[in-house]
Amino acid sequence: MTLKAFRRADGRVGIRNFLAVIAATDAANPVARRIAAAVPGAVPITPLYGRGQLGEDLAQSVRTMVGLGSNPNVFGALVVSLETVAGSRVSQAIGNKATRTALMGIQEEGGTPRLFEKAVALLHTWKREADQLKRAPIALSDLVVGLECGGSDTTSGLVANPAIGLLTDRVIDAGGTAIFSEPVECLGGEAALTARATDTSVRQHILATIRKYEDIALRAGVDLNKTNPAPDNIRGGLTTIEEKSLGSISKAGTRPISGVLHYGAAPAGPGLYLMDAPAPATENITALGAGGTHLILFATGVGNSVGCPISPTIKICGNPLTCETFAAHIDVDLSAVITEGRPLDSAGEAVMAMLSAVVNGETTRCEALGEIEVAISRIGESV
Amino acid sequence: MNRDIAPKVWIIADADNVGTVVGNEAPGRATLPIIGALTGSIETQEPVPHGHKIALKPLPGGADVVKYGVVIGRLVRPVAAGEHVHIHNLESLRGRGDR
Repeated sequence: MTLKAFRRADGRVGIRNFLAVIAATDAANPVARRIAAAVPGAVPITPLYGRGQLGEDLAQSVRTMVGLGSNPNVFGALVVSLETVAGSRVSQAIGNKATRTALMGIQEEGGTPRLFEKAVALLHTWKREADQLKRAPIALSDLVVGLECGGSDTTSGLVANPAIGLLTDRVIDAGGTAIFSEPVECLGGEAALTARATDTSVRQHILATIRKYEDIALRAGVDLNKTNPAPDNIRGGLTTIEEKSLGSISKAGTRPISGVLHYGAAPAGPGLYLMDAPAPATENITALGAGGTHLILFATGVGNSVGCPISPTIKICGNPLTCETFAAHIDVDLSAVITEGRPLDSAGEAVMAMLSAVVNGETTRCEALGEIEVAISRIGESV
Repeated sequence: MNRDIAPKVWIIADADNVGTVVGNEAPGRATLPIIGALTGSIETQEPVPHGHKIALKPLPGGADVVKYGVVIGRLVRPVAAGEHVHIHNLESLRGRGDR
C-alpha cells in the first residue's frame, strides 16, 4: 500500500491535520474542551496544572505541551490560558513548528464566552485552510512510530508485542524512527537491551534510566525485584522478571538502540529510542506524542481504551476473548495466532496493513469514539 | 481461556528451549502441535494451563532456560520434554546478583 501524508514546510510529514486546543493553565481546560467540541478536526489538550510549577517540573510540563503542539500531525495549535504570560511560554516555543499558531488569554479576552467565540471563528478559518491540503506519497523512513503496551496479559508478551516488534524492525531497517518506553517494565531485561546499545554512553543511559524507576519505588518502600512477577503474572504463567520484561521489550524488535530520550523530547535523528516516562498509559502516550510520534502501536491483553489526541493510537490484541468482548476498542485482532495457529509473520502483516491504512487517513477506534486524553507527569510540587 | 480453543505450543524464537501453551489448558499425556518459530509436535507430561511453559526437550538441572532467544532463568532440577516449567523448577538469575 502506498503511504500518503501531508508534507510540512520543515520537511516533516503529518498524517492528520489536527487543530490542537492546548490549555497551558488548567483554568482554561473547560473552555478548551468546549472549543474543541465545536470544531470538526479539533482536539482538546487539557493537562492539569500550569501555574505554581518550578524548575525541572515546570520545564517538563512546558516541553511536553510544546511537543504536543509541535507534533507534525498538528496543522494549527491554539494555546489558551488564564493569562497570556503562561500561555506565551508554550505558543512562542511552538512557533512555526505548527503551520498556524495562536495564543488567547481568558483575562485578556474578557472571559471565556468571548474567548470561545473568537477561538471557534479562528479554528474554522484554519480548518478551511487545512482542508485544501493534499496528501503526497511518503516513505516508511518519514515516520516516527510510538510503541506502547497496557492492560497487558499473557497474550501481550506472546502475540501482540512480538508482532509489533516485526513492524519496528521494518521501520528501523527502512530508515524510520521508533520510540518505546516504560523503563520500569524493562527491569529484568537490562542485558537484552544493553547488548543492542549503539555505544557505551547509550548503554549506561539505558541502565541509569531503568535504575531510576527502581529507586523511585525503593524510596516508596517497594522493591520491584521482589514484587515482580506479581501473583497474577505467576498465575498467568510468567515465572521470572526477565521473562516478564522480555514480553514488553519484544515490541521494540531486535535492532540497535540509538539513545534514551527525556520525557516528551523528540529524537535528533532516525533510529530506535527508549523514552524515559512512567508506565501508566495516558502519561506514557502523552510523552510519546510530545516526542513527535505520528502514530502509536498499542498492544493490549485485557483491554485499554485510551489514545493520544494528536498521535492516532492503534489498539492491537492477541487475546481471543478480549477481541470479542472489547471489540469496540480493538483495531487489530491477532487472536487467530492462538485460535488457528497462524504464524507471527501473518500477525506482523496485519499490523502493517493497519498502520498503512491509519497513515493514509483511516480512523482508529480511539479517534472514532473520542477516547483521547492527556496526562503530563509531575516531578515536583506546586507552590 | 473462556472459549474452546484447541491447545497449541507457541514458540517465539527458534533458539527457545521452552514453548508456551496457548488455548485451553492442555491435559497431561496430550500431543500438541508446535506453532510459531518451530514446527512439530510434543507430548505433555502433565496438565499445563494457558500461558504456561513446557520444556521442548530434556534439560539438566542448572540449564539456562531460553525464551525470546535469550536466557530468562535457570532450572533448579532436570526436566523431561513436555514437562511444566514454572516457579517450582525455574528461578530468576537476578536473585544471584546477575545483572
